[in-house]
Amino acid sequence: MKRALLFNSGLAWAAYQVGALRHLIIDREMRFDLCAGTGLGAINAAFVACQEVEALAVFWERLSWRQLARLNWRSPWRGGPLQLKPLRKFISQHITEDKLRQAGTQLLFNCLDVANGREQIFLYPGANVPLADALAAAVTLPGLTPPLEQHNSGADRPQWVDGTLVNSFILPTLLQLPVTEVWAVAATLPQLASNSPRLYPHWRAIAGRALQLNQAQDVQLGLAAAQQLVAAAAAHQHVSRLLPEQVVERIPDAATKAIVQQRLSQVYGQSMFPCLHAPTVHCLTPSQELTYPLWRFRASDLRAAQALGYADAQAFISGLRNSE
Amino acid sequence: MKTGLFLPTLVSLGPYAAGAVQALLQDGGLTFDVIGASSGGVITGAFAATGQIDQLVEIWRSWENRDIMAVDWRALLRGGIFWAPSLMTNEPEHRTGLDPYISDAKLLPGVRFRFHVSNLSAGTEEILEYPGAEMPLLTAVHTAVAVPVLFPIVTYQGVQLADGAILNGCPLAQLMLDTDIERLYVVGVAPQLPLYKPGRNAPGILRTALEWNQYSETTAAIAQAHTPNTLSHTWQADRQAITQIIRECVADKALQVELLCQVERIYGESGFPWQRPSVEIIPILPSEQLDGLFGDFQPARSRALLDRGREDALRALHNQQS
Repeated sequence: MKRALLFNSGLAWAAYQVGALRHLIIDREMRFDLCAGTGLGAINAAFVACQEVEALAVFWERLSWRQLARLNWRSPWRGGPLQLKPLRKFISQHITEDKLRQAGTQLLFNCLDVANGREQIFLYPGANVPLADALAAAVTLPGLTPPLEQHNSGADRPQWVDGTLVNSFILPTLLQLPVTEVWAVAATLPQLASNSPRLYPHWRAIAGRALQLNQAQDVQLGLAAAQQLVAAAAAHQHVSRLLPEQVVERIPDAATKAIVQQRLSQVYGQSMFPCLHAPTVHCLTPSQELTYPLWRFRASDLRAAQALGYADAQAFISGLRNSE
Repeated sequence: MKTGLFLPTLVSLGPYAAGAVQALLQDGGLTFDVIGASSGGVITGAFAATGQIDQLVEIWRSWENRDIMAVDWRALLRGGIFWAPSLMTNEPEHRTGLDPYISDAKLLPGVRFRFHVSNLSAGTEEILEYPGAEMPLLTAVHTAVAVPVLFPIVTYQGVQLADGAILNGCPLAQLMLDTDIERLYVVGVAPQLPLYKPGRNAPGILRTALEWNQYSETTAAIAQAHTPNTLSHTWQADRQAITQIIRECVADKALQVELLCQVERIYGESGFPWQRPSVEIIPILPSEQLDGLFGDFQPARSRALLDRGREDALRALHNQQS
């Protein structure tokens, strides 16, 4: 069984994922064959894949903009006013392809190639871009920090930035891989709509709300696509199980029965449905709304988000165990 | 054949879509049973659904920035720049381009016009379909083009509503699921073949990244719409093959009928998510990236885009016929 862990982008709400990880990885000792994510979710996924969850927790305890970036004095017009050297340094201290190989875990994340508009999927170990560079690119905000440009890639040099701009929740990508189970931790709005609708008085509040809803919808659309594939695979299993039992078996003549069975087998042999891959998807989302803006890295907010993630993960696993 | 038209987010490339839709209607002789749209595409969709596409083309030939948007100095001064509801206003667009033309009464009979808006207050997507929706069509169109931050959002019955593209810039799959169309034309501005166009500086990289963010909504939606299409087609084909096997192999008519009823029951109870035939999707997209997704509205540029949209639509019609 190939089990995958998936994080959405989340920005500062990605602290929620770290809290959930504490329960899933440390308390429950869950192991994952593939860790995937977007944006800061990709950073979290990398630390899990390299078995550096404690270092990740410490990182989020002390997280501030200074931990992530510093001023770009050399080329602010060319690349942006900030550069991600502090983050890149921290990543390279903890995340290596050797650690991935030792852990037997793959790491997958996406970037946007601004030069041609394509989504770039990086899969490690084995990709031909240094891991720390690619991970830094996965959190590069275009216009603020320089993109990752691979200088030895021929005439068309890519410019990689945060993949959130094309896909903040790469569940559809995972559905194309041979995974049997996906555990998604989505730092987004709660699944259930609020009973007390709010009004947003000025453009800053409206912008924050729009960004939250945009992220949440990516998660919902990804989950809906996964549910539909699961339903399609289940429908095929239902039909292919019941047709022989309740249709073929009713044919009294043995020769006719054998011919019908053989031709049914031919139909299913040529159909795409037996190859349809639909993993089980478990998705953990916050039970209550995270009340701080997506772009604010304040220690008290991040601690509260982690605490909520931990509590929600406990409740989620207990709920699963009870339903079994 | 029931035919649909879908117009995803267009930003400042609306004239391209208007030229393409005019060509489909006039040169192609098409009629659309369902028109779906998102964000800026709702304007083109509204004019098409009310039989006024020629009017929209004429509007685009003369529209400039000042006819669409303006700085709302009153709101900025009243609230201060940080407390204003928006940075600009699209009241000129309402006054010159929407209010004189769009109303429920002008909807063409037999056409379903549907689009979505974002409910900021509840955090949900609201799908509005005309005729029939409670909200007046003009109010709904105003809402669909209320880009947050840039323009004022709409408060309707105590709820804040805004551009549906916040949630989904191209809800193609939902349109296919909710309607019985068999063929769907998608007129968008995402380039079919992206050019290599690296950003030269930080503002250029940011602008290009935001363009790809918009384009990817359309290209991803078209790609994702093919999955249910393919699965639905295979499901129906398998079902027909099984029915055929029983008809050919089982001579006893009474037994044949009984077995076919069993097959129908088993398929009916299976829970297959797409209980409808596949939809033929015909994208009409520019072959190369059009300049200035976030560009100015100028008559000369709009005329060039109208012509380009028209050419691409005619080419798509020609390819379809051949």
